[in-house]
Amino acid sequence: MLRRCKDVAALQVLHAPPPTSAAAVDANSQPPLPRSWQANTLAGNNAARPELRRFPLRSPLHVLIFSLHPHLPSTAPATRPTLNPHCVSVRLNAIMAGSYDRALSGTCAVGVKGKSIAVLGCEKRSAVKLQDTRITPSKIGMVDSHVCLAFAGLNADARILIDKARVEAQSHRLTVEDPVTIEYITKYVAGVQQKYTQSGGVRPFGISTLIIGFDPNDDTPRLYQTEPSGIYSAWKANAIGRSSKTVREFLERNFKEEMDREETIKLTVKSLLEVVQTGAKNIEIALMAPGKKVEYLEAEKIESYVKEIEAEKAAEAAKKKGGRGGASASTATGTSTPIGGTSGGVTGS
Amino acid sequence: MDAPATAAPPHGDVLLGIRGKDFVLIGTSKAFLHGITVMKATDDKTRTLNDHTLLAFSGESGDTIQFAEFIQANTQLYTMRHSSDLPVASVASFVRSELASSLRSRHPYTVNMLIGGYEPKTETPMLYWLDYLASAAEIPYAAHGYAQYYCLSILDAHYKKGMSVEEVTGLMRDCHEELRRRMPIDFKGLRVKIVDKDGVREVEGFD
Repeated sequence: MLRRCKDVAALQVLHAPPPTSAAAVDANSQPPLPRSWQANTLAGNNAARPELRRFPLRSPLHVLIFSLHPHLPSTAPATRPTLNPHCVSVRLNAIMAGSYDRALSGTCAVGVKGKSIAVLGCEKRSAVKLQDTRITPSKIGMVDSHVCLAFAGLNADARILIDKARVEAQSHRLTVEDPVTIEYITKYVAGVQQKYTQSGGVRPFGISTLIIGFDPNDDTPRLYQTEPSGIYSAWKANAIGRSSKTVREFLERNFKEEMDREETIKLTVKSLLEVVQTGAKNIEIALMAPGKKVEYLEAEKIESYVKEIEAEKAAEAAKKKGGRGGASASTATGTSTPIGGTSGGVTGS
Repeated sequence: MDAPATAAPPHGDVLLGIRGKDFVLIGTSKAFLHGITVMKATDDKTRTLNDHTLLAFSGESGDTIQFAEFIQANTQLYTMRHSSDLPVASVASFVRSELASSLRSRHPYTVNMLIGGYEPKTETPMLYWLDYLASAAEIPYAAHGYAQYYCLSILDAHYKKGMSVEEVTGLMRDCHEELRRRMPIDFKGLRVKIVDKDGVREVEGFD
């Protein structure tokens, strides 16, 4: 049933002439349609059914659908199926689902808040042999000197979205002489994403974002997430992108309040190791502390965290296998949480 | 072409810039003037554009801050977009081009500026002189307003290539003293800032 409905909606699109311009959003400001087209509009064909008249071909929803089919034939056949408003919503849901799919299929990104630190970590796409990873754009970017953003999903979409956020951040400084708060810029990013689910001639942003930073003159770390639909939410720790569910569950089990710098970084790396197969060389970490510039952790530093975590996991595993594992296990654990460490070790191996 | 209606006469604001060996020193008067009235004695006629670039401005009040902060916002946007600062020479070119298009609009900005910057990569200090007619030049020492008439002769006589911080500060002090002695209006002392490899910071002792 659902499938048929979708087909009808798609068919509808195929039969309609392409939209003349993307600006044709507002039904009221639209110039009169050409006569040949007018005869084919639902309003014309279904004069007796007012509920269908509410969906003339110039509604924003149609423009949205048209935009996804740029190469439409312009010949309109004599007969056309009637449009069920339900089909439109199904089609729209499909579009949104597509954006979410893209946002979920991007490489994983993690955000964790500590006592007075916020950490972003992400999985680097594995590079091809000849690719210059040193200067290939990263999935973590700066919106302003105190706002850091990581995304999962379509890189090209993210570039546009981040640029809009950067312009807004500077524009905000220019108009009110204050840097943006993290909530403000999150709301702005989410607002842009929402707008692209509703206006004509565009498709939604296929990305989720994690935004971290510190408000001006404030030591409280902030972490927000935005989604393709325009939803935004605040978190203590969260993950987006591929296998984000696994990572989020890991964070739920292992998150502690008031973590210091080392603990926060370690939790971030550890949660990423749940899903990153290749270890340190595919992990990227950015740190933010109040009043300081962003700090990108060096590869060697990440490597040492990974080694430390792997040693802990091995020790835990040995302890489990041999019952009373011996001296090595007790020295290696230290600050980590035994429960989380164990389960992490099991899923990892 | 007629000259803009708001052709700026020489004004009482002091802008001074001296390029040293590996730094630039920029001094601006602390008096905020409205005609001949001093409205404020702690004015700061500079904006930091990025880590190593300082913009000093004077002219039509309102225009000055509006234009300076517009330039500041755009240089900072550049920094965020490219994860590196806009070079000083490029800042000067950008400012000049903005000013040039403004000059040919219905309401041009009447702002005179000095841009002091330090290029960390090539370790070179740079001082640009720009006026509201959108001319720009990279020069060793520069002045705007009435300060030109009192200070340029001193700078002509005493400026040497590759001067140290102490020497240039001393030269700035001489200019300050001359202005204090000769200028008919009280400019409430100078706010002096240095731009070098460590960034922008204020130099005390020019009250």
